[in-house]
Amino acid sequence: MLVKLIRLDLRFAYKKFLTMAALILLLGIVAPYARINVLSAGLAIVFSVAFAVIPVLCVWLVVQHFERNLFGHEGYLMFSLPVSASQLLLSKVITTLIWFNLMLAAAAGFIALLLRGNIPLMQLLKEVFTWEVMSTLLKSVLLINANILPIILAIFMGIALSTVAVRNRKLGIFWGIAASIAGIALFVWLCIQTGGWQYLSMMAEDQAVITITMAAAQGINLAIAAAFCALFFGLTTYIMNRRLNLA
Amino acid sequence: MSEVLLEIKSVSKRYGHKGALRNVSFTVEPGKIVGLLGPNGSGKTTLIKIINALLADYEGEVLICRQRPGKESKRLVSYLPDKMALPTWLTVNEALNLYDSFFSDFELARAQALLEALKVPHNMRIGELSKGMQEKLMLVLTMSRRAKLYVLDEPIAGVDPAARDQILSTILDNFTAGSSILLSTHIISDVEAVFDDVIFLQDGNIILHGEAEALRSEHGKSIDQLFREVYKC
Amino acid sequence: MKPSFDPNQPIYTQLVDWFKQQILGGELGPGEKIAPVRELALELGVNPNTLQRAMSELEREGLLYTERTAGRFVTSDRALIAALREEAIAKILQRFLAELITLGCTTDDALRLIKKYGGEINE
Repeated sequence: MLVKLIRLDLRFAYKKFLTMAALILLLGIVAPYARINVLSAGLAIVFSVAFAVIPVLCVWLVVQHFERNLFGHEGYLMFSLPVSASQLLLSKVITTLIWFNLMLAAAAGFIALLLRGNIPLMQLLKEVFTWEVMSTLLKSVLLINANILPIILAIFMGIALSTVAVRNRKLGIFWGIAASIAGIALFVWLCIQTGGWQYLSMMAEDQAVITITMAAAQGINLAIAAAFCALFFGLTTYIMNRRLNLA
Repeated sequence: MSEVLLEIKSVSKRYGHKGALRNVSFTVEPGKIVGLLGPNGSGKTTLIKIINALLADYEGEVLICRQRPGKESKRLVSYLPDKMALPTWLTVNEALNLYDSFFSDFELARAQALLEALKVPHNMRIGELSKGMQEKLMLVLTMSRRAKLYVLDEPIAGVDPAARDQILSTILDNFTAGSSILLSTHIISDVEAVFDDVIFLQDGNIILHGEAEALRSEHGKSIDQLFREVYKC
Repeated sequence: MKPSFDPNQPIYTQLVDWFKQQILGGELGPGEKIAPVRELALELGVNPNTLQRAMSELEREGLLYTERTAGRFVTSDRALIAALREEAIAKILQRFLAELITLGCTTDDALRLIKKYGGEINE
């Protein structure tokens, strides 16, 4: 059932996300030619617009789909399907992560294409596709995902909360946004508080100490992220199960 | 009596101070077609949302084949909302596949034949269909399930009398023998002959509940006329 | 052959009367098969349970009978149909004559007048 839900959620905007990823790569291809003066002015505008608009558009698509598909008219269908609230939520979260990583990959591709004047693409690929680089890369992607996940869930929780107050939509939206921001702020604050370790570790001279403190810092970060995910996920499914009130 | 299909036990729902449902109780037995009648705002849709687990915050108890509204009850209930609930970004065929993949009791061939009969185009995006076509599509999807209970929220509101007959016969021709229908409406004259039981709702209260035939002979009036008189005061 | 119902009266009794009329008038011949309840209910635009009730009533009166596998049929008992038909006609005539009597009309007058005007009605 979860796979079917994910397929449905992907269906909603796959064309838009693929187009945006393609656009980012295209910009990377064109960018080095910006040194030619005639093109540079126009390209500068296209660049700045693209970089301002694309992230906003991505967030908007995800937020809008979540709100409409679950709490708008489409919710009448989605909540009539024989699936649990956690499956509905999980499908949205996984889909969002897929889009996030797609855009992340597109951004990486963009940078690689941008640098192709200095480092030829083939050489770059050769250097990246070593065990050591790949494992660090994969680890950092996982860390990024782990840290973006509570933020996505905080936003979803806020949207779910905003629908509880049926009779006073404005008040609901206020509390929803407030809860999202508070949730994200708390998570980020805790991460920063505990993240001090990492900088401390850099001052150490012993390589072994550096490795251990780094690992510890990452472990703490992951634990915090997991705790926040569980909290936000639990609250959101609670709202969907016990406080649902479709308008 | 055979096993009760739907049991509503003293259900109440308040929005702030306003009561949307007040201590509503009734049962629906297998094979019965029950009319849930009342003007707009009388609590029909609120009750239907509770039965379909779209409204979770209520008092009292609702049981569908002895289960509370939830994941399991949704397998047994085929629900037609009063709103356009299908994602408009899907095509008609994708919507058919959606129902086919999520509901094990869905009959794809029946749905396709019905769409053909009602002249709903297969390959268009739902958003591009006219409102009337969208409503027909939803009805076809709902009635192509072999459910235990069909909950139909205002299926004949806002359509002209000719289409009303078509919709009614689609409902009566396709619901599974032995299953029940709970149909809400504020238009009664054209449909009253199909009801076994009727429930009159007003301001969240049940003000009249009985067998349609018994009410007719008791009052010497049609359900439609009774409805008009009851709601005048 | 769709009847029009008076929604102010129970539909079940109207269905019983309508079927009787169909059978006694010969629209539904002796031994003729009746369509399944669901199908017929849809055609007549009535609740299947109501129609079922009307059918049971007609079975009780012997006008219809069910064969377990084959379905439901009009009785083949022509004598019964004839008897019921006569009973129905008698009822109408009694009412008719009672009304004529209030106008001071004798039975002989009535017979004479029926012969005189009956031809016109038939045409």
